[in-house]
Amino acid sequence: MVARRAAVVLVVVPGLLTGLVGCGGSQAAGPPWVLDVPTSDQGFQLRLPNFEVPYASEDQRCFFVQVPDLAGGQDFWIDHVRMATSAGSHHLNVFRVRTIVDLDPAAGVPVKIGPYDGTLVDGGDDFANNPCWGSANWADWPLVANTQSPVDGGPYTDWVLPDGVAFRFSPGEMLMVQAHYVNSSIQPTPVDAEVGINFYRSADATPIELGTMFGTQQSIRICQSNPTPTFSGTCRLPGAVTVTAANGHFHSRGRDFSMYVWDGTSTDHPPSTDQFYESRSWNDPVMATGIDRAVPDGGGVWWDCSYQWSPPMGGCDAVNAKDPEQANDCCYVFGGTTDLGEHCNAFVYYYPKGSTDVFCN
Amino acid sequence: MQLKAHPFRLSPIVGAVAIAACGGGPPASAPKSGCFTGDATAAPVITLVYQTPAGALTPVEDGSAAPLVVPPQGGEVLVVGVRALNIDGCPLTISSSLVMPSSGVIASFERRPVTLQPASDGWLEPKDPTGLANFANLPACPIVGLGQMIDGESFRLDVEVEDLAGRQASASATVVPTCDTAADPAGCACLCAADYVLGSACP
Repeated sequence: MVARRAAVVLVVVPGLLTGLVGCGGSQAAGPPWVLDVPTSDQGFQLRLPNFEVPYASEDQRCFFVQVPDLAGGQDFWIDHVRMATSAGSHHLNVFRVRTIVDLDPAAGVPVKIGPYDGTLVDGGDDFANNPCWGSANWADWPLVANTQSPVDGGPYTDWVLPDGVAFRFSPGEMLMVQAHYVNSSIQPTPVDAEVGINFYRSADATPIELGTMFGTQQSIRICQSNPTPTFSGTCRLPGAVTVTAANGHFHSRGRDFSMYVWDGTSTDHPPSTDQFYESRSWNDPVMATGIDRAVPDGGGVWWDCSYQWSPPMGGCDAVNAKDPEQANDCCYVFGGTTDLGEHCNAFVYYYPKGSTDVFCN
Repeated sequence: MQLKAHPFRLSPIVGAVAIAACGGGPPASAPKSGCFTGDATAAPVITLVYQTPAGALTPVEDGSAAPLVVPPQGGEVLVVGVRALNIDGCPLTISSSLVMPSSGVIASFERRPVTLQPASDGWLEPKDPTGLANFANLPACPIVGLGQMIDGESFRLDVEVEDLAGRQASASATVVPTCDTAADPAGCACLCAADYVLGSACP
């Protein structure tokens, strides 16, 4: 199978012309990204509305849009995803909406996502209250695709699935596209946030279905008194599978994010030969593709998040205030904005999907 | 109640209501920092406790129900901790696993640093016992590929701890992960079903 992409219509996003709103860092805006708009035979594009991220702020936005009908009401397959994000993107995650808890597409404000009608729940930086920040709200929403801030690698994440592998979309299926931007001295957003995603259809009528795994460790603490903690977790996958892509996500105290093939029967740390992913860059983590690592039946993924505590730029008061233990130990705990909180999230893509996509807590 | 044999265990201690085990490690030396409690010349000892949905500490009794708790990220976890003696609990690395006893298959495993604090009886126990960070947050539901449900089934709970000086202890118990009847038992049971499919409708 050969993934195809055709230049039928060009959309040029004039990033440098949309207004300079960042002012705190030396990060250049870089050239504007360009994404061809696929025809319906080729796929579809989700082009989010631009938004401003003022300096010294963050904005997490949850956009909702339904998969368009590209195949006369039938399901269709995607084997190539090209994501474009302007500088300052902290993460871009796409999930399939399932159980509605507190994050409700119907509660969003209407927006246009390219030619499609959608809605937006703007979380701003209100991580304590806004449902766009509460990951329990998407605990059973299967992951579709993700990318993180391309700082040095340019605005694109171009992900071509292995030959004969694709993921399925159903027309009308609701997607959540979550974009998180940071505008700070260490992760500046020098122009308006600009996000586009192209999903390209597979020509294969009966591909092997891709499965996805989202794992998250949330009761984590990175404290001044214990400054180099490591948190490890495992996640079983459905049967014998091949891992094809992965990335990890933590914040600026993160030093090493590693993932390994796990045999499902051992609590000994997997050997280095079983490692299939490592990132030491919190703000530019690699989206590893073409991994091609076999996981045995009954096995899964072992992942480690290692941290180095560092003093908050604004002092410990805000970090201490966020600590549910109120330990006064300048502990970064899970979630929230990048300056105050930490993450330990694993994204893994495998095939065949087997019985289900996977969420591990 | 049975204690799992570990190579470094020196002398298991069986308590009336808790599963206790001893450990070993390097030769005793005066603790330099942290919150060492007990006898530096004696083997470390731990007993297992779990956190109830209401946030109380309860000893793990062999073969008893262990409550499933909804963590901030969703799903269901077992919140398992230790009470410890002759070891430094500031910090302590806790490794925990939920094992299918018939096959040895590990349903889930996690490892994390925790902080203990002195209790009134001279032992160490989890600091902030109503929080989650000083316990193992052992994933329980959903778990794919087990071929059996989790709610109401017996699993072996294995816990190992190690302090910064290398002192180690371990303990095991049979537990029955059990959905909280006061919360959303139907939804929990759905997540814990053997054939649960992520995103499928639950009651």
